[in-house]
Amino acid sequence: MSAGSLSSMIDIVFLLIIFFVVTASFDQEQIDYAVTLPSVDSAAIKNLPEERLMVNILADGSVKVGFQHIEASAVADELDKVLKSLKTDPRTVLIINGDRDTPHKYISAVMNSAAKAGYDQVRINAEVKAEAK
Amino acid sequence: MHLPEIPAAEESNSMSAMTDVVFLLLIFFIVTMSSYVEMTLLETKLPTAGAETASQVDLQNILKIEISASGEYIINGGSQSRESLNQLLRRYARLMPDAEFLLRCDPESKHYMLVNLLSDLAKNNLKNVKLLK
Repeated sequence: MSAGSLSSMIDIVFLLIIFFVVTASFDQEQIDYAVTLPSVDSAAIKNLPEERLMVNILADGSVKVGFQHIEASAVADELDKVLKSLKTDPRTVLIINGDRDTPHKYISAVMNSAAKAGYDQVRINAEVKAEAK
Repeated sequence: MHLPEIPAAEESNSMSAMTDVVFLLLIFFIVTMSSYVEMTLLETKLPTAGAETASQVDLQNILKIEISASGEYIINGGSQSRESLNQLLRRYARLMPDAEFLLRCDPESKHYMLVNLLSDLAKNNLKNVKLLK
């Protein structure tokens, strides 16, 4: 293999490594593009907990966690098992990214599943308004 | 003396390496910038049954706030505007900072109403907040 083709192969391999590292670490802490966080005018806690799992709740009540998408009707049966499987550390804090227009019954269903899965701490995520930053 | 011939620099190779690096940086910035949103976390306890909690604590130290489906804050059966609720919370912060706040949301109430209330409580440094089922 010539030096030229080897260097381009190394480039591609590095590119793939960076892509997988970035996506793997983001999958559990990403706010879904379909979720519009409610905005508040003051920041309560700015620092994210070290051990965390983000759950996205869309306006229709469906839940996205990691790479999984659970329909609203299946949340009560399936979400607690998924959350339990993703809990790698007992100190893991569950962060709820709820869409601003999601009816409370869906948020409540996720909280119930979190309690069933053994999460002690749950936090609700919000976006700080630009003028309050 | 016959000196060995130095090959001319390969322009196309240096160009391809630079393009690789530029693409790498481009991907890195796209991935990191798109995920940046300033966030704040609002603390709340997981939903509890409510009735038992209320009977154990001195009633004077408990304020129950309900959020109706139409988006009103209701205290002791009366509807409150956000401004009057904030005034009340400021009084609590001054006189009774350890008071317990029980929040009950109508299943159809929007998520941002709860977030606004949690934000107002956090702004006044009132931390004893419980969400009822």
